[in-house]
Amino acid sequence: MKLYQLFLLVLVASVILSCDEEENTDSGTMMVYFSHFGGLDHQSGEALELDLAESGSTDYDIHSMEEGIGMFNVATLQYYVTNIKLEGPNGEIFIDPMKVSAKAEEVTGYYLVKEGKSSSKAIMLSNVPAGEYDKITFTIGVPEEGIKEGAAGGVLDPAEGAPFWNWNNGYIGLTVEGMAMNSEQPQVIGDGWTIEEGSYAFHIGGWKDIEETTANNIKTLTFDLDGQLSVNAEQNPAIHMGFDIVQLLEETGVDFASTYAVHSPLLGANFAENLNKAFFLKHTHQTDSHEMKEDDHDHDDHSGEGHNH
Amino acid sequence: MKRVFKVSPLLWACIFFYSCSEEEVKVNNDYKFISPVNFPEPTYTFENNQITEAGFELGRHLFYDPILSVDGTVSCNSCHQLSLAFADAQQHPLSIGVNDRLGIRNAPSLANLAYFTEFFWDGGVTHLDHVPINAIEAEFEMDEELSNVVQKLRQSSKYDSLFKQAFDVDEITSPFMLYALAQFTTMMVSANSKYDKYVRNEEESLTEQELRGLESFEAKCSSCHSGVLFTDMSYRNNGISSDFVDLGRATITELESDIGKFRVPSLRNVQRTSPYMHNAKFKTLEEVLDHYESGISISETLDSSLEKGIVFENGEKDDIIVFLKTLTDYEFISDERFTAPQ
Repeated sequence: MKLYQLFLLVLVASVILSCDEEENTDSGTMMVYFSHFGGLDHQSGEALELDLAESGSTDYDIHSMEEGIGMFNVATLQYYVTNIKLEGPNGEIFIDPMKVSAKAEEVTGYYLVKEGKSSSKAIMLSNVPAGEYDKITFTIGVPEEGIKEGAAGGVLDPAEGAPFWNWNNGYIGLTVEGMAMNSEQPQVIGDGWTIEEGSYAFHIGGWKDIEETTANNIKTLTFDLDGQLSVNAEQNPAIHMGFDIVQLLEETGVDFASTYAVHSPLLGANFAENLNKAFFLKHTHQTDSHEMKEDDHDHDDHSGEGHNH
Repeated sequence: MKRVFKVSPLLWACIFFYSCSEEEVKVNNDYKFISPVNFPEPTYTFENNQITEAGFELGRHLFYDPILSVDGTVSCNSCHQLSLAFADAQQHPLSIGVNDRLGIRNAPSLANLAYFTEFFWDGGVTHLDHVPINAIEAEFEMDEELSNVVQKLRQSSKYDSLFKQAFDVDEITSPFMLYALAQFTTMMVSANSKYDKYVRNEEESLTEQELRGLESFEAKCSSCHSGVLFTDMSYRNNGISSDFVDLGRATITELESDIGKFRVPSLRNVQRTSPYMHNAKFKTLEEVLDHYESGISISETLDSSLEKGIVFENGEKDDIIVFLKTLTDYEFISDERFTAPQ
């Protein structure tokens, strides 16, 4: 992370914190970080950090033992996180306010987490009521509430990079693209665009429940934390979530020979069903002190207090 | 003394303003969405996007501006013309996009969009705001990226001030462009046909033949073309084909049972919207009724009500067509507000 980004974050954090102190001493913040992995190291069992490949590169740096998957890389990984909720053992509850608006600055509660863009992987929840929290829930994808209000700005603006299906209107909840050794994707040359031979694109979307049979790929995931995190005006607790692409592909049973272009709700349904196995709780910190200096890689060398492993 | 001097002009201004507004209480409804009394409640999200004159006028500029297309050759108006109730020209059975690319379906009328919840022949888009994105980005329509359209609008000399006036924004963004287009298109309410004036008792009567046609229509067509919009908004296979290159509704639902089904179209202004059907198979209303009488193609998803065709008595088809012509809204198709901006 660049120095000015760190500076900006500290500034934002301190402004929000100071505001809280003035308005409400019975609340605090919670950071939620997302990190991305490409399988486990077979010797140590440690999750391997995901490094983005150049688009079109055939350097396959990710490996699955599953024959249908084999060697591949990831050039694009992004997903929407929405409807974040924190809960505690004594009835504590925090629901991140959701708002769709044409004005970018008024959109709240919708996050587009994108590998390679570190600011997108750190979500700050503010005005969290003071208390103990031991559970986090969030949704992957943009549910109906994000569609039915019509045109939207900010992370929901398709002209600003929001992944959007124009023919079957809705946001792509999860995008994974790259090259795979086993992909049977032939080269396709269109008017001003090319689909590379051996590439793959998994676009998981679809929010409509038409006659209750059509794939609704908006999935809500809940994770128990590895202990209790105290939220108050003084501390900066943090939850670190992980996402393992190898786990997703293995659980989904992907065979790149036949599955390399997923662009419809039905084809994406199996992926969506297995999101709960691809996302995992990595760890939590009672005090989030130095996280932002890294580009969300492994935090195991971290020496903060209250490390719950 | 100084104090009095300071107050009095303000006072005078108040009095002047007050008297003015009292004398000229004239409400301008030209840019207000007014739902006709014989229509249902509109479904568009006006609470997010209230129509104003400036917003409507911006939408009008955008609607007629080929800047939306990749090479500046195709505007919304290319396939949606006012005199045809915003349907496509008869010589364009399928829409024509950039580089004369042939579309896959007949461009439908845009009348009464504020009352619909699903758009396009397959209903794939569920909000009017999102409709232009599909037309802009479809390769055989405008073939342009939404982000490029925004860039071009930012670079043009006229749009900055139009967006500022319409939405009080300093920077042009896509949601406000879509809002403006929706303001223009939701105002396309067609409810002043001879038929409407007849049902609203506005000193309009239907001829004997038109009344006979109405009766026959209600008996034989209105199970699908129902209600004041003359569509039940469902998707049906009406026997146009049994070989489905275009999967229709199944493109969206991915259900085999929806293959070959398309939206039941509204019949308002149907006299002006030839050719008919998603694939523009028929040029005349006579051909359409002949199809329902004896031209049905049998396939697995054919609508059950059409398995045996529709039986018409002698002269009944003529009566129905005469009735359908009472749905033409001449005020709508000549409404100055919707003409190309100067």
